[in-house]
Amino acid sequence: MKTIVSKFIILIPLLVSGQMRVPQIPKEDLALTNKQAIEVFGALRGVSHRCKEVVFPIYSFRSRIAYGVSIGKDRVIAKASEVAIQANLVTLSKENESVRLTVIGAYPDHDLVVLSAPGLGAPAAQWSDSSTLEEGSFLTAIRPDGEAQAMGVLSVHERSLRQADQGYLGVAIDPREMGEGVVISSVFKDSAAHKAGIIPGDTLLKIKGKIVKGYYEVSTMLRRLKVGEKPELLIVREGKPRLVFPTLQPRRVQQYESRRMKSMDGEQNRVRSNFSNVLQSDMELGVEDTGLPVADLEGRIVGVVIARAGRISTLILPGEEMRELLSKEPQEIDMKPNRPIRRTRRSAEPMSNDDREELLRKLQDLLEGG
Amino acid sequence: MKTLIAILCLTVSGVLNAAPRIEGLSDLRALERKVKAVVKDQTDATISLVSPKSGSSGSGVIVSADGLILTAAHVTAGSKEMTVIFPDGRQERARVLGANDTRDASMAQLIGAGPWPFAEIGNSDELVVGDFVVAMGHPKGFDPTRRPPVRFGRIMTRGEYGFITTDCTVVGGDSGGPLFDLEGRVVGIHSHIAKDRKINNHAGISGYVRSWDKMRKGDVWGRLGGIDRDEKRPVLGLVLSNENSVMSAVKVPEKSPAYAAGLRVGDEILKVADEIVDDPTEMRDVLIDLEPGDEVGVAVKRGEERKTFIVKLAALGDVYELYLR
Repeated sequence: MKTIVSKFIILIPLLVSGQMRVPQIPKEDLALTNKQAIEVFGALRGVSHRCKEVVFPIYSFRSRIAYGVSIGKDRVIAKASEVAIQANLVTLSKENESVRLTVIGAYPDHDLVVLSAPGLGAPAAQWSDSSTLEEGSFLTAIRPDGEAQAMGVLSVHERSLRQADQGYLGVAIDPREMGEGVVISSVFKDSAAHKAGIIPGDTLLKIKGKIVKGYYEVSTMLRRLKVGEKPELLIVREGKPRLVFPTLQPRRVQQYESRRMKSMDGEQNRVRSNFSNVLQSDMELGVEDTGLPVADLEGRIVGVVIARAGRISTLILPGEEMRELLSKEPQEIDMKPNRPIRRTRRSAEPMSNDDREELLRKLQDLLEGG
Repeated sequence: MKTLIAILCLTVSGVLNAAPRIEGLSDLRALERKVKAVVKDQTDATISLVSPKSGSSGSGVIVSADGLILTAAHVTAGSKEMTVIFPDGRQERARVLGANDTRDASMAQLIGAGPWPFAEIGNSDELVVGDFVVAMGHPKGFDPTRRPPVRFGRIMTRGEYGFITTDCTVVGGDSGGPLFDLEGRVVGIHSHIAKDRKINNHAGISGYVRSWDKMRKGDVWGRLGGIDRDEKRPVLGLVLSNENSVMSAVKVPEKSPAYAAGLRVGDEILKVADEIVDDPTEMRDVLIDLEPGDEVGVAVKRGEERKTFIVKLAALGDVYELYLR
């Protein structure tokens, strides 16, 4: 699909080691900063020890692949794409006894799976609203032993990562357009703009009464509007103004990332996009750390880690979303024992929509019992 | 090089007491309040910069009500004008001013009257290992679905040319974005990273302060990645020895600018451009804010006498032959 963004390539510069001499951290400085980290994590213990009762490690063939959070009734919830397709799932109870885990249901839209853990006997996690947080609020991800696995801040508050939740007009604009009003260079067939009668060469002067001054303003304003919304657009054609009210469609734009950018991101979870409501944190976690409960400095569980998504980003499903989700029954899964299961390959490649669909299809297979 | 390491060690041991301590949850809560205040106050001044020619994008920070922008030299390189995108999506234009490439430092000026949201300038010379800092920027380019993501971390170490290393993770697109101290003052500008997530490098703000007038005027000088082997590097034109913390001239060729200014063999160098210099590396780091042709004051001790000479700097390539004779 040809789109606004695909018309030009976004190059994003940042020097990577090689061009500049990058200092090693001297031993003395490392010792000092490590000592400080121990202090910080020690201070966090007042929070983290309160939450440890609800978090459990998940192993497959004796290697830990994720964590799970107790939701009561001997059930644990975990990241579906990391857990559901693995075999021989086991957790450890607080008494250090191994408990076999069985997949019994899923919330596919949230990439979550419900696991049965007979005899686990853990209390259900109490989910708190993330609305009390601000960008910059301290967050910590808590391990089964009650220690913090990571500490960071709320980098970006709740938002949808689904492009389809963003309004889409269906026009191309030269990103170099500057000044009041932007010229529409092309209009995509059957798009909102097309249906509203916008044609190439039209100048878009105002959106909802506000004069627009370039490509980025137009793009930002439209993407912050909802699908189905009918914003008033002031178009100028051959010197004559006219108002149009296009019904915005869901956005579907391919985004490109250079290989070099990807290489800086390190290992990421395969499913890390398309969440309809997530928090973003700079907590430094690994791909095997999904499912850790996330607490604020009051010890409230404000979410659960759902993906490592790059050098700067860990994604968290917010507490209120979890509460609402868990009030609904999961989709049932009838697991057949000894069913041959393909182990997933972790890769640093971002997940394409096709990959995601394939994974969801696999999950669907599981859901339908094969 | 050995001297440099010795100096770093000294800095660290001198700093042990100064690094902030976290003794309990209440200290963390106090820290959190400060971080939230920084984010609240400084987000609007953290802008995205896009080159209208290449579409390449970085970040920047506004530091005055009349719209002076600090960013990284490799963000503005090759551009005369940049598109400025504010966190709310508003779009403006900025004229690129000068750059000190050695420090990866550059400036741009917003076109338009303002007043613009801006952040105060801090002092990166005062930072010590362990100090808490906040990084903002527009990683991977401007994104209408979010404001600049907040990163929190600490000073991990200090590098050459005034660079600061932190564990605030930054990535492509963040380049040129601000590193704040806990009072919300700009203390660094994101420059480059290593794969190790604990190594994120920022150009120290004090380097900008030292290069301020020249950058503002539109001068572009220096070399990205270090200037040791740069033939355009500004030099006094003398050979120094550094023994027992005494730096003195062992060779002053007759045709060199140092000789012309009056410097002679045996002179002990005390200050260059009003800054105390203890070894050749420190002297080099003072000179990177200047260019060949600029005049600089050199304070020396000759016997029991103290004197100051005004030396007109030469390019290394123009005097290098004199050293060899």
